[in-house]
Amino acid sequence: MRRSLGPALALLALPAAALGEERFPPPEFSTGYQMPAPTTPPPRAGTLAVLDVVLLAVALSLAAYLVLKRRSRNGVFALMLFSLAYFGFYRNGCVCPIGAIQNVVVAATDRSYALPAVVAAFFALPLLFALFFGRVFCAAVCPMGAVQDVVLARPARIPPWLEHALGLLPYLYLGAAVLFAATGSAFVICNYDPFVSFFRMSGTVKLLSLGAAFLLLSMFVGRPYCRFVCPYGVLLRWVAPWARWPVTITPDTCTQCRLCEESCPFGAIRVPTPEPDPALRHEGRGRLAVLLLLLPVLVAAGGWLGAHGSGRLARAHARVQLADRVWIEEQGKVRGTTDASEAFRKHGHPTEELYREAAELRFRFRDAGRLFGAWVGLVFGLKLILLSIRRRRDNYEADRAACLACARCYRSCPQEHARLGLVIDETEVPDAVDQR
Amino acid sequence: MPSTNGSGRPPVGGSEAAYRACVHIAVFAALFSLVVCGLLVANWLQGRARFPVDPPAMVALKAQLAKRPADEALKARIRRLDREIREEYFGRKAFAEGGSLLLLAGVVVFVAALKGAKRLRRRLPKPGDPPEDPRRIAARARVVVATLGVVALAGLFSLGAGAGRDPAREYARAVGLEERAGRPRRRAASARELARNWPQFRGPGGSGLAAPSARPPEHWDGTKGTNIRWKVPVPLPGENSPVVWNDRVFLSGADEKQREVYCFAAADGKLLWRQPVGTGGAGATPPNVSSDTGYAAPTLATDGERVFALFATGHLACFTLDGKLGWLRNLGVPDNMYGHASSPVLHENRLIIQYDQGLSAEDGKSALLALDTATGQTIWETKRPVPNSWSTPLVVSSGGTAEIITCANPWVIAYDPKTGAEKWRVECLSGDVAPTPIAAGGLVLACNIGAPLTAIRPGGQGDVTQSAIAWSATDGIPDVTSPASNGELVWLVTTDGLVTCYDLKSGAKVWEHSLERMFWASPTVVGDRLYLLDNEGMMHILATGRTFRQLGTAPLGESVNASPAFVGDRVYIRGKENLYCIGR
Repeated sequence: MRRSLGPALALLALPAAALGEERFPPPEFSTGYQMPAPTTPPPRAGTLAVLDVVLLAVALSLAAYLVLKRRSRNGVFALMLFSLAYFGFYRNGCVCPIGAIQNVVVAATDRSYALPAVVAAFFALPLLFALFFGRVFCAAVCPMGAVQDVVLARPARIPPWLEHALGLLPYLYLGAAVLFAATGSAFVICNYDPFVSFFRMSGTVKLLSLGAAFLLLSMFVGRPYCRFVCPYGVLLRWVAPWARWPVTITPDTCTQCRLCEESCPFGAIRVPTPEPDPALRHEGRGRLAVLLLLLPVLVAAGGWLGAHGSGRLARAHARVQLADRVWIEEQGKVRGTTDASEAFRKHGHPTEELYREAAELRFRFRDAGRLFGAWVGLVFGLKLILLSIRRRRDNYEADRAACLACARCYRSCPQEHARLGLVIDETEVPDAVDQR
Repeated sequence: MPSTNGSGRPPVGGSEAAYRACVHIAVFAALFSLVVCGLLVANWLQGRARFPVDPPAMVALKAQLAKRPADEALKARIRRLDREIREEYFGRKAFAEGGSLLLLAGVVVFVAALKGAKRLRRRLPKPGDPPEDPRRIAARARVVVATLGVVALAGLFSLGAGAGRDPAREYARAVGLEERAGRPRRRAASARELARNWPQFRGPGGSGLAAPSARPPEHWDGTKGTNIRWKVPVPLPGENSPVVWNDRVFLSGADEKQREVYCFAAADGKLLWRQPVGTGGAGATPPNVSSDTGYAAPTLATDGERVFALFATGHLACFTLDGKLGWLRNLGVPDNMYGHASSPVLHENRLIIQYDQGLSAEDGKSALLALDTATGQTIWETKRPVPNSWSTPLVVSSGGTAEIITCANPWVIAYDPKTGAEKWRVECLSGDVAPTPIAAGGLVLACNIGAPLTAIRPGGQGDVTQSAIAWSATDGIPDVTSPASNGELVWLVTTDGLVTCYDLKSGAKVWEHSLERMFWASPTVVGDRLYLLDNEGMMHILATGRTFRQLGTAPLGESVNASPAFVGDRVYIRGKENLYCIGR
């Protein structure tokens, strides 16, 4: 583990690259030299954008083939490196399905916004593949997953109860991302993308530090961003359980040898459930009834609290910030001006329209905040209900929603060894069962 | 334990030499990465210390140069320092970029070596303790999830703490948007209610035709007080005309510094309320306006629940009839060479504003807007291919559907009030268009000096210049006042007092007569009389017949530019200084 600390610290210091973001003012010539007019680089060619989509589709197909047909971890790892190189470092991590959530939300809430076809494809293709093959996008195509997976050195096991709790964070993040995108405030998923600074070899000190912290954590916790932050993972979690051809740990019949128990660094293997205890059944039903009654209360309380706190949320919007600032300046409650308020005044835009725009935005935030709060209540209420529903499981299975299809667990299964011809005498397999 | 096959695959654990090599490479890569990282951090810190924007040394030298502008040596020092700073900045930038690549390479080698070492020492899977009972896991998870839920909801609650000190509440109040909930949407005023009042410029239909119930006096004398029920001063100047709703009369006034809306009691002229408009700031920058137009030329409009006031500064305010601010907007200071004068008009729950700007249509500034009367929100905005104008839009019904008729050089354009889409247009105007169109006898009549009086059959599609013009006439065309009609005849009055009467159906001139007075107020048809108010406040009352016949005159004793309002047995006239209520 100590050997792992070196590069981790090195990554923490990557903020040095932040120097590149500073702008240098143009020189002050006194010789009549005419500064050349700034030029805008041409947009990326449309054919290259189509190439991105084609490569995404090919990568997803290949990932599905490698995970489900070839059951090859090495193949998945190689594809992961390609995705990291192309979608990460070459394409600078953009477009990505995770950020595309926000474009889709804006397209749904703002009629003046046209969703680019490439963004729509990036948003939809991984979900479509998940519907057939599970989360193969996470397995080998997502550059953010890849960069975490590559540095995973010694994964620590997260207690399942903690995994349940932390697994709710992506839902909250998704709710916040939708809230801010729908109100036109910010694309928070992009603004706080911890890895895009690495892909671009440039970024703010804060973002580089955040990314370095995630990478450091990724050495000891399997894919922390994917499991406990990624909002797109929430959508994949909803779709993957319906997969037509899901990941199976064993290529044959599970012998319950327990050898795969520790093989998943992401805590996605579910163990067989014990026989139900009739004495506890009554207690469980009572709890479930209480939680079902509690759900609407939580949703209503969350909605009210969300609306109550929407004023603070609205300050994330640049126009609201500006209106607040201009108002307190006009009222003499603060001295001096900011760059934004000065620019606003120079533009000559009427203050009433700014105040009005900000007030209207706050109304929008109140509605959006109510929905966000209700969403928070719903997430916690449903999770409590799901934790109170007993599901019967007879074998070791990959949790279809949580499984990232990394193919690590395959090699721990004796049946897989038999499939690959690595076991000389198959009659020895039951020995493994006897090890219990 | 399963044994390996004989395919040459290395046994689990790999060769010791390869493993050691991987470890050594990993250690070296880690050290290398650390060194590069340290150098990058040092470079970054030094760069921050010598931040290139306004370094103190440069600022000091520039201050000296301001005092000694001819000091060439000083200029040379500044240039030298400027170059040094630039070289250092770009040097550090190149260092950071190169270092980042080296760091990336170091990390890649480290990870690869680490992976290799791990692969060579792969551990066989070995089951540990029996897995924990899922019921116990679920029980613990419920506790943690419930705790996290409480924390999340508490976080939401804490977001609302201190909302009372939020400046947004104050400025939302200032623009009338403190609270949106609980604002009932009132049904639009009925035609009967509108006809009983004088809700907008030129009366209920906007065509200068008083309701049949109007029975104004035929004689009054403002100098002697004859038939003057009351007379009250108006605090601020304005050229807008009075609007009346039941027992209240509304006006606005403004100068370059302030804007106000007034409500007077119709019974005794008592000023019931006056409200300032606008909170200062950028929107308060007054435009250049002519003294004839002023800052409060647009006449107010009311739907019986709210009253709407537009000013030359672009301020647009909505008040309840009790004087409470409904909402406030600023449409932006209009680019209008004389000052904005077009009045807002109402159609159902929409406030229609003709906001024509710019010296040329190519400026692309002109627009027609429909705002929600309850909230002030823009429902639609349609760009108009015209320069600035001073004409007020007119809402007419054509074939059962409503159309907004607008006049500006060179087009009369009709729009759909629901969507703002253009329906038809006729090219028939020129110059600085001020007269407001009227509707009479199924025709729309538009005019402006330099172009004929044009009678248009509404309801077409596209450019109908060739097909929709019923007739046109060229004599006695006004440049300020609007036409009036009783459905049989049309009257025009020019600024210099020439009154021309046309037959509405044929467009034939019936008569003309010069009153030899100045007129800016538009004529109004009241029953079988035509009321014409000259700039000196003299009301000329003519018979609406096919021959010129003057029934009388009535002096106000004060100069007037605004058009009068006729409601019941009363006439409301805004003089330069005072508001008059005339009645027996």
